[in-house]
Amino acid sequence: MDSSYLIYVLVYLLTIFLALSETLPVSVSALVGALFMAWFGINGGLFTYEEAFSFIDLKLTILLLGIMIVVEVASRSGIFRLISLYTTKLVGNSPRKLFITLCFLSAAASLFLSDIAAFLMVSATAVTISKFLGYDPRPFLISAALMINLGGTGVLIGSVSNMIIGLNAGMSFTEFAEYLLPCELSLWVLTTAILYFYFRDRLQGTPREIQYDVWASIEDRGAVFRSALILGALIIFFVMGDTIGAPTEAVAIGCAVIALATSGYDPRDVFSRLDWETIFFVIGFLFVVRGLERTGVLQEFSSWIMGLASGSVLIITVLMLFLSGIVSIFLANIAVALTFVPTVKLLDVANKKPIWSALVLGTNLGGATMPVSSVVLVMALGVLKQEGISIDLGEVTRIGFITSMIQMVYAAIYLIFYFRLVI
Amino acid sequence: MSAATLQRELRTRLPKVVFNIVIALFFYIISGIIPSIAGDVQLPGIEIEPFNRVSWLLWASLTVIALLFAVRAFYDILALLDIVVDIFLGRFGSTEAKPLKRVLKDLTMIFLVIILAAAIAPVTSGVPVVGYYLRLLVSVGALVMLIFLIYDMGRIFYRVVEEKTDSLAEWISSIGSSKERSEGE
Repeated sequence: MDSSYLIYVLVYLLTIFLALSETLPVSVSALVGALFMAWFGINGGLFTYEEAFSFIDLKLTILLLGIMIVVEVASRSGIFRLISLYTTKLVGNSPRKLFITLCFLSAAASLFLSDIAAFLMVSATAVTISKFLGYDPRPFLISAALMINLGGTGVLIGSVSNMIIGLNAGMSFTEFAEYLLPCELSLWVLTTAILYFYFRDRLQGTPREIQYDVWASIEDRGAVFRSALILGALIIFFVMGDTIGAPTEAVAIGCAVIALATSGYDPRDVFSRLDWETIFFVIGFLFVVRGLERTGVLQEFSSWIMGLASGSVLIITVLMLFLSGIVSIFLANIAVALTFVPTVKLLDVANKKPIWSALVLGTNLGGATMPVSSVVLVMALGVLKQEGISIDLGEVTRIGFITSMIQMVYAAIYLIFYFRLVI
Repeated sequence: MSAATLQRELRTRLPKVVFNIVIALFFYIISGIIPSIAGDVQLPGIEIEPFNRVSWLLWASLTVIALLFAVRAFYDILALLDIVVDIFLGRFGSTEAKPLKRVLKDLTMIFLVIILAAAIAPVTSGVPVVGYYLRLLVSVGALVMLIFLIYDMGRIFYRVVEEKTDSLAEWISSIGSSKERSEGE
């Protein structure tokens, strides 16, 4: 690496530190980084003005926008709240049954919804029910936060980092799910079992009969059915994408347009509720990473990984899983995914599927180790505080750390056996 | 910390700094003159060179006095620097009390200062006639800011270590006192 490239590494570090130190909002940090990268890159002859535009990944941006619009329209109809209430009503009111249901419900909600939206939905259900029945809400909320972080690991649209990795790896919706959904589903069971075992003494209480109308809060039943149809169509087209020749981002934006056209909601309201912070962060940070890629720094990082693993796919996979997982404890998993994607692309390995899968698992699983690294855990603590319930931060960190480590070890074993990395 | 505080501190500390530096310089200068008056006179009873020479003894005494005043001046300069750094960093929004976050912010600002200076460099160089001086000004400005930021990081590190040392000392003394108490019983 040329020492004149140091300034580009500094720009990358500045972007991360601006966000990490909360000097600027994450999206603005990324845009500031992109601005500096463009300034130095163009003036320094690293890339041209025209080439700079190619750093913006239009496919990824369209995929993000499409999914966000579909989910926002569906959320407004109340379909997710309805599913949540229906499921809890169905399982009865035993605290242990409710706990297990809520764990699975949280993970399932996170398959489609953003972590924050999923938590808002599940936490409202958890707090209401536990209050009504007189149960301790702490196990419910902390477990919900951990399960939401886990949920969505196995599907392409489960998280922004998944979309970044999936698109760059050239994985279709079905291919992505084929490799990772079995792992995610088994992790749901494993994590719920760990959480149940950990909190079992606190899941006490006499079951009480509860009566509530799940449809009471739904204003427009037609909107719920329309949303169900569009979500169904989205999944069917994603699954059939390979057969009908429709790329993932095209399906997403197509369904988004249909959702907007049929919902009757004011599009300005829908657009204003989209997660623009994430969209601009992805655009800006991707620009920074693409600039850095031009310097050859990531190529060196890639060569370092190759050298460390002596070219073994098994070692690279395990290394990628733990490296991305550990870095995700401290950094937003979107930033980790954006940084590691070019590194994996540059690896001189024939079969990269296990490595891509390891990156997906690492970025998803590392995020809930500590309250500082997980927005949902912070939200869980906030909800408990609002309810006037004290919480031991050490305990939250402990359970987060335990679950993350067990999940990562399990994921490593899964990858080794699923991709037959040991001959 | 405000500009008024700085003014107040400057009024009280600056004369002390000047006075202490002048005295320190005075003793430092005379430490080079007075010992030579004593010539080769040796102290009886002390056999170790050069400690047996009166000139050395005079030089050492005067240097220690000069050092004492220099240290006092240095202490006042540090106190003033603390205020200047606080005002300076406060203007940049770095008023974070938590040590780790403050260090993180300082580190962020260090990166930002370097990058900004590097980004401005080609622009300032291009300015006719004064380009060189502008570039020099930017470099000096960046360097001063870097020194302030690094000083702030060092200060935070010192405070954290001091706190830890204090709590360690308290813990050790509490062990000692509890032992004494148990022995007394």
